[in-house]
Amino acid sequence: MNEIFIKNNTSTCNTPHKIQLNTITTTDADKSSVGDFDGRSSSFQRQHANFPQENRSGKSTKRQISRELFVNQDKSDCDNNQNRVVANSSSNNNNESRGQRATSRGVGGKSQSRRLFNESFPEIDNPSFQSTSTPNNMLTRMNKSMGEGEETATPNSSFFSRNSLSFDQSRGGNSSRKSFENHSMSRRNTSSPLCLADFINTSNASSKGGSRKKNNISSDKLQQQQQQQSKVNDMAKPKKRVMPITVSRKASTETPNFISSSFQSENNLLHITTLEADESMPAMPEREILREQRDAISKDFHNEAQTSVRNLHALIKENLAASPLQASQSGKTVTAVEYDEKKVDRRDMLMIMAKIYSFIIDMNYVPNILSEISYLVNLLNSEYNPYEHQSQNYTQMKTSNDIASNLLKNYHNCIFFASCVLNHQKQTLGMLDCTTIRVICVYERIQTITPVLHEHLRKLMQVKMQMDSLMSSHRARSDANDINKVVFYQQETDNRDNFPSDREFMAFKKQRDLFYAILRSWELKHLDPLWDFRANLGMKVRGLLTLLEHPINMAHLAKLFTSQLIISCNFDNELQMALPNIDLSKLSKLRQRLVAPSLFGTQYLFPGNQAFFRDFIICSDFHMMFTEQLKIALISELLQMNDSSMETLSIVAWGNCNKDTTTAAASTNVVVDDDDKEKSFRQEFIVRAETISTMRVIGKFIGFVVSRSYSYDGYRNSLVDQKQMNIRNFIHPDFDVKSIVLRAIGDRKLLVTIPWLVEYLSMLDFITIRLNYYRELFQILYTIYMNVNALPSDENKFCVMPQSNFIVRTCLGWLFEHPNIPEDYYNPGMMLSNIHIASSPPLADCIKVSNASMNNELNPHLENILHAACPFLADFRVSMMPQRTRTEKAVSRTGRYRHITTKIQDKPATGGNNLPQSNREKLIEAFLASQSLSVRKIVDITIDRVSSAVIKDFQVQHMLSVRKEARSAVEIEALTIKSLEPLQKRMRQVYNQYLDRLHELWTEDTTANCRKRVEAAFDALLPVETLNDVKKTLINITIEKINEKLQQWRVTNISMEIFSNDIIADATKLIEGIGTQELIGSSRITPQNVIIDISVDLQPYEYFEMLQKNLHLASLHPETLTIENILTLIEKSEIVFNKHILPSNFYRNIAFNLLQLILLLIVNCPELITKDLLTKLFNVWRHEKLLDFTIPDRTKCNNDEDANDNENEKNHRRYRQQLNKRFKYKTFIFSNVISSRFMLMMTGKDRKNFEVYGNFLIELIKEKFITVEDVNELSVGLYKYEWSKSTLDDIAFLVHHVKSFLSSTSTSSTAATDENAESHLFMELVADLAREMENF
Amino acid sequence: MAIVSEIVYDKIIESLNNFNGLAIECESYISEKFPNLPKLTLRSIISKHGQNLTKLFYSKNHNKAAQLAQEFQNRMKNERSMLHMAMDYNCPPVTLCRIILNEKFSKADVKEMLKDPDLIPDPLLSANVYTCLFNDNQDGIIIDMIRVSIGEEYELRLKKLARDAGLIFYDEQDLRRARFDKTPDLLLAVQCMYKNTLINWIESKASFGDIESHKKYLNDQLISYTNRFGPGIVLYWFGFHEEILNKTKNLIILDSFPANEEFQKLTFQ
Repeated sequence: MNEIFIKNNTSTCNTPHKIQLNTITTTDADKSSVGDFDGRSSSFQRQHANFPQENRSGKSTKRQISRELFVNQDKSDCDNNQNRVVANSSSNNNNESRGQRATSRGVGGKSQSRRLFNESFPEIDNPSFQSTSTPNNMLTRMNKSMGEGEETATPNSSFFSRNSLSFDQSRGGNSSRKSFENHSMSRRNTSSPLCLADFINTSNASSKGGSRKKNNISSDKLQQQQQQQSKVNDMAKPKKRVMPITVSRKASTETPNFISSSFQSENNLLHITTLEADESMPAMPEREILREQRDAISKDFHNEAQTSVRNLHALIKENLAASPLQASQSGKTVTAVEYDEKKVDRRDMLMIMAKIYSFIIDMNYVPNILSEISYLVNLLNSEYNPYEHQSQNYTQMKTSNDIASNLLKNYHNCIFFASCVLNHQKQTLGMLDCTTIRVICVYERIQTITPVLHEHLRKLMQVKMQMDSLMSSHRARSDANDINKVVFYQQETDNRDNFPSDREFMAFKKQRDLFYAILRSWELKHLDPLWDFRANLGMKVRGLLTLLEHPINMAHLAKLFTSQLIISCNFDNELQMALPNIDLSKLSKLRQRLVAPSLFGTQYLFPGNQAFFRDFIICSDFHMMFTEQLKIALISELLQMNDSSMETLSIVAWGNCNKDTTTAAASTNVVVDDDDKEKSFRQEFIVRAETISTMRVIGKFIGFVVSRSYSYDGYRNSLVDQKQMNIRNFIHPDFDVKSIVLRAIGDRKLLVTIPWLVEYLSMLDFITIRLNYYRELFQILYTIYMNVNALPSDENKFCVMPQSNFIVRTCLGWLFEHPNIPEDYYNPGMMLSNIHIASSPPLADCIKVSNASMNNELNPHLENILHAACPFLADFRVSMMPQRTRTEKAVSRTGRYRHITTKIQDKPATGGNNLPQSNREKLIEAFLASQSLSVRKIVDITIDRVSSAVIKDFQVQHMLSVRKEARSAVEIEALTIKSLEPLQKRMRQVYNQYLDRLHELWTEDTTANCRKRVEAAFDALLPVETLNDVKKTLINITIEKINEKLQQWRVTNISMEIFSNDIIADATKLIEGIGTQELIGSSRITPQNVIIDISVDLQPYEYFEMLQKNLHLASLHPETLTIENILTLIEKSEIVFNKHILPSNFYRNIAFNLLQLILLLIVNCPELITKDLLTKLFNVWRHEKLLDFTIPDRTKCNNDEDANDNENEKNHRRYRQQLNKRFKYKTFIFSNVISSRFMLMMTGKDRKNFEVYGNFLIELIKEKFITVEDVNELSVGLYKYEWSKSTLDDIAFLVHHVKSFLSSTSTSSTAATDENAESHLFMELVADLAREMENF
Repeated sequence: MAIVSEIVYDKIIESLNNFNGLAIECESYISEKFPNLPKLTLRSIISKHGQNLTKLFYSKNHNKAAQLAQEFQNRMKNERSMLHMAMDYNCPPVTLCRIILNEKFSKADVKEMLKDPDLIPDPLLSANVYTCLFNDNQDGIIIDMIRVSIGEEYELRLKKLARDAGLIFYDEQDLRRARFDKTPDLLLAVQCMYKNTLINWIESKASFGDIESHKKYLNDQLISYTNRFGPGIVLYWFGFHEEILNKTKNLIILDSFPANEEFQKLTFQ
C-alpha cells in the first residue's frame, strides 16, 4: 500500500519511487523470520493490550493487578530480543481464530505483556493464549501471500526482514499491493514498529529472491547478534528493585510465588498497614523490614525469574530448532559494540535514504509514525552488532544497487542512518510530551551522535516540564477533593417533577441508594482476587433494575451512571478511597514505583474504577430498557461535551499570529477576540484536557455498550458473519459518528472529536466495524490522516497548529494499527476526493521544511491535550526505553488525567442554513456575525441564563402565591356549591380569573426584570471600550431573543394546569370533603406553626415533661404532690404560650391535660384545689391561644353574626362552624368533663371529693367555660352505666350541689330567662331520678 | 454532650434491665447511679431503651393481642388494672393500651382514643387508658409533643449555631420546597471543611446515638445524603455510643456543634 501511496501522492516528487524505493525490496518471508520480527518488542502500541480480555469478561481485576506488577518486573528482565523469540514461537501456531480479536480489543494485539504473562504463568497454556492471539495467523497469511515461500530466510536473517512492504515493481501491482496489505496486517498484529525494515531488504538466505531484485541488504549478522543477545539476556539474573509495601512478611515466608503475594487481599496495602500497626512495630522503619526480608524477597523474585527463564528457554529452543544457524550461534558470547562514525560507509547514500524515509514519515505514508520513531530509536540504540561475522566487503560489490542493498548490513551504517532520520524528524520528536522526550534524551547515543537533536530536545523538555509542573500542581489540588465523590443531587433534574408519579420517584430514590450501595461494596471488595462482581453483586444489580423497570427510572439511572462514571473514571483515586488521610503526592510516587509503567499504559482497557462500570453493564445485559437508556445517556453526554461551545477555547496559530491567545495557566475559558477576520481561518478549537479524557472514557463505554449485543467469544463462521453484515447494513447506526467527524472538520474541532472517536471505534465488535457505514467513516478518517501530515500548514489543512496535527496523526495512527480494525481499511483508494487534500510539495521542499527551525511557541493547552488524548504514548515510551534505564531506573511514565465536566450545551456553530426571514433579521444576523466570537458567546449565555432566571423569579414571586390563593378561593366556593357540575364550572371561572391575573403580572414583571438583568450582564461582561450603541444594540437583540424564549415558556406553562391537573377530580374531592383537611391544619405540623425561641429559659419540652410528671404523681403518688408544684406548672404555661408558637393541637393537648390534672387532683388530693389555683388555671384557659378549645365557638359566633361582612366571609364562617361541629370532640376540652369514666375513678371517694368536683363544675359554669345545658346533657349520659347504690347517691349529691348553686344565682340574677328555669327543672329531675334509683 | 464508652453504656443498660418498675420512675434512679453523665443523655438512653422494650414487646406479642385483651378483661377491676398488667409484662403502659384497644377498635379510632380516652365507650377501660397515659413517659400524646418540640428546638439550635458560625445553608424546608427526595437538616449552600474533610450537609439528632438507631439512621438517611451530596456531619445532641465512630465511613459524628474556628471556610480577600 505504501507503494501505492507514493504512486498516488508523490507524483510531483522527482520520481523517488523509481530510484530509491525500488532499491528496497521484500524478499524473505519465512514464517519464523517474520515471527522473529513480529515479536520485536520495540513496537509499542499494543504490547500491553492483552489483559483487557479478562477485563472484558469481567473477571479477575485484582489478579490482573498482581500480574501486571509482575509483568513490569519481568519486562525489565527480558529485553526486546527475548520477547521476540518468544513471540516467534507463538508465531508457529497457525490458529485460525482471527475473528476472536473482535471480541476483545486486546486480543490479537501485539502481545508483549501476554507473552510475559505466559512466561510468568506457566500454568496457563500457551496454546490457549495463542488461540486468541492473531499475530501468528496474520503472519501465516502474510507469508502465504508473500510469494508462497519462495524465499526461505532463516530466523537470523531477518533483522530487517519484516519488510513485506514491497516497492518492488517487478512483482507487479497486484502482488505488491497484496504484500503491503500483509505488511500492514502484520504491522498491526504484531508488535514490531520496525517500519524502516519495510524499506530495506535483508537476508543472505534470500539471495535467490534478492538476485531478482535490484538491491538487497543483508542483515544476517544483526539477526544473529540479536538472537545471541536474547540468549544472554535470558540467562542474566534479573535486576530487581526492592519494592516496598507490596511484599509482606507473609509473602516472603508462606508464598513462594511472588505474583500471588503481590496484591492479594491479605497483602494489599490496606491490610499490610493495619497488620503492622497491630503487631506494634512502629519503631521499625519500613526499610528495615525490607532489609531483613531481603533474602526472602529476592528468593521470591528469583524463583519467579527462574520459571520464566526456563519457559523462555523452551520456547527459544523450539523456535530455533529449524534454524540452520543455531549451531553456529550457540556458544558464542556477545559483546557490546561501540559505534564508530569512521566506520560508516557511503554516507551520501545513507543520507539520501534517510531523507526519503523522513519524507515518508512526514507525509503520513506510514500507518503510525510512532512505530517508525520507536523503531529508529531502538535502532540507534542497538548495542550489539548482528553483522559481526559477516564480511562487509564493498569492493566486491559490483553495482551500486548491490551496495545500496547491503548498506544497512553495516552496524555503523544502521546507526548513522537512524541518527540521520531522527535528525530530520527533529520537529516531530519535539511534539512528543516531556516525559517521552526525557526518555529519548536518556540515550547516550542521542547525546553523542546527534548532539544538535539532543540539545534541541533538551531545551524543549525544559519548557515542557515547566508547563507540566504548572499543570501537575493544579492536578494535585483537584485530586485532593476527589475522594468518595458522588453525583450531587441536582434539584432541577432529580426532583419529583421529573418523574411521572410519586411511585417512580420513590422507587428511584431507592434505586439511587442501591446503586451507591453496590458501588461502595465494589470499592471495598474489588481488590480481592477471589471476589467476583457478577457472583457477588450481579443479583443486586438486577434487583436494582427490576425494582421498578420504568423507562423514566432507567433514564434517570442511566444519567446517574454516566455522571458517576465521569466523576470516577479516573483510576487514581482508587487507592485514595481505600486509604484516607494519605499524602497524595507520596501516594502517587509510591504508585509509580509499584506499578510503572504498565498501569499507565493502555494495557487496561478498563482501568481502576472503570471496571466497576463495565461489570455493572455486563450484569445489566438482559435489561434492555437500561442499556438502551444508558446508550442514550452516554451519547448525549458525549455530544454535549463535543458540541459545547462554552467549553471550547480557541487557539490561533501560525504565521502572523502564532501566539496562544489564551493565557497559559488559565483553566477558565478565555475567549479569543478575533477582530481580524482573516485570522478566523487559522483558528481551531480545543477543550480542556480533562474534558478530552472524559470524552475518551465515555467514547470507550459507548463503544462497549453499542457492541455489547453483537460481540461474542469463540469461533467465528465467515458465512454467518457475512450474513450478519448484510442484514445489519440495512440499518444506520444509532450513533452517527460520521456526521460528527464531518462537522468537526468544518468547525475546526478535530482535536476535540478525534481522541474519543478512536476510542469508540476501537471498541466496536467484529461485525459492526465492517459495516458499510464504518467503511465510509474510515475513508474520511483516512483522508484526515493524509491531511494532517507534518508539512507546513496551508489554509486547507484541518489542523493549523503543528502540535494539533501531531495529536491527530498519532491518534489516528493508533487506531489504524489497532487489531480490531479490519486490515483492508488500509486502502489508498478510500481517500475521499471531495475533502480537500493538501498537495504534496516537492521532496526537496519537504526536507527543507523539516529542517527549518522549530517554532518554539508551544501551546500549553495543546501540551495537556497531548497527555490526555494520547495515553498510548506511555506504551510508546516503554517501547523505546533504553535497556539500561528499564532495569536500573524507575522512569516515571505517568500520563493519566482527571476529568471534570460541567457543560452547557450549545448549538453547533455550523449548519444554520435557514434563510433569514426578513431584512430586519438579516441585519441582526449580520450584526451578530460581525461581533467577535467572545461577544457572541456572551449573547448566547445571557439569553440562556437570563431567560431561565426570569422564569424562576416569576415562579417564586408570583406563581406560587397566586396558585395558593386560587386554590383556597375554590375551596371556599366548594362550601356553597354542593353539586359537581356547577362546582366545576365555578372552579374554571375562578381559575381563569387567577390565570388572567398571572398573565397581567407576567407582562408587568418579566419585561422589566429581563431588561434589568440583561443590562447588568452586559455591563459586567463587555469591556469599557465597547461602543455604547453597540452595547445597546446587543442588549436589545438579546432581550428580543429572550422574549421569544419567555413567550414560548409562557404559552406552554401558564395555563389552567398550574391550578389543577384534573378539575373534575379536584371538584369531586372538594365535594367529598377530602381536600378540606388542609384548611384545618390543626393536626399537622408545618413550619409556619412552630416557632420555638431557643433563648427562653423554659423550652416547650421541659414544660411537657413537667406536665407529664405531675400527671404521673397525681395519678400514682398524690402524697408527694405540693400545691407549689401545680402552681409552677400553671404559671409556666403562660411562658410557653407567650414565648413560643406551637402547632395548634399542642395547645389543645395542654389545655386538655391541665383539665385531666385537676380532675386527678379532685380524685386523689382535693385539698390541693384552691381558689387561687382555679383562678390561675382559668386565666391560662382563657389565654388567646387556648380559646379555640376552652371557650366554644358559639359565643364567638354570636358576636360575629353582627359583623356585616361580604359573601365570602360568611361562607367561610359557615364552613368553620361546620368543621367545629364535626371536630367538636377533638377541640372542645370540656366535652367530657362529666363522664362515667370519671365517676368510676371517684368511686369510693368521700363526699368532700364530690363537693370539690361540684364546686369546680360550678366555677366552670360561672366562668362560662361550660353551660348548664352541657351539665344537663353530660349528667344524663351518666345513667347509661349501672352504678352501685353509693355512687348513685354521690351522683345525686353532685347534681343537687350544682343545682342549688344555680338556683341561688338565678334568684339573685334578675336576668334569669325561661331557658334557665327549664334547665333547673331538668336538673332537679335528674337529681330526683338518682335518688329514686337509690331507693329502688 | 457526651461520648459514652461501651463499658459505661452496657452498665446503664444493665441497670435499666434490672430496674423493676415504671420507666417514668427510673430516671432518678439511673441518674443517681451515673452522676457524671448529663441528664439529657441518660433520659435519651432510657427513652431508647423504652423504645427497644416496646419493639421487643410488639415482636413477641403481635399475634397474641387477643390473648392479652382477654387477660385484661379478666383482670380489669379498677382503673389501674392495665397499668399493673403492663408492669407485669415489663412493657410501656401505652403500648399495652394500643394492643388491647386495637383488638376492639379500628386503628384510626384508637389513635383518636389515645388523644382523648373519653371517646372510649367503656368507662372502666377509658379510666384504665387514662391511667396508663398519665404514667408513661415512652408513649402518649404528651410524649409525642415532647419529641416534636425537642426535635424542633434542636434544629433551631443547629441553625442558630450554624448561622453564628457563618455557614450558608438551605434548611429542610427550602429543600422540601425544591422537592428534593432526601432532605438533611442543613444542606450547605457554600461548603466548608471540618478537620480537612469537606462538609456538604449537617444532620442533627436530638437523641442519643446508640448503635442500633445509628444503623437505622444510616440506612434511612445518612447514606442517602452521602450518595447525593457527599460527606457531612451528624450531630447527636445528647451524645452517642463510642462504637458508632468505628462503624461509619465518610461521616463526621459529633456530640456538639464545632467551634467556629474548627471550620475552614471559603474566604476571599
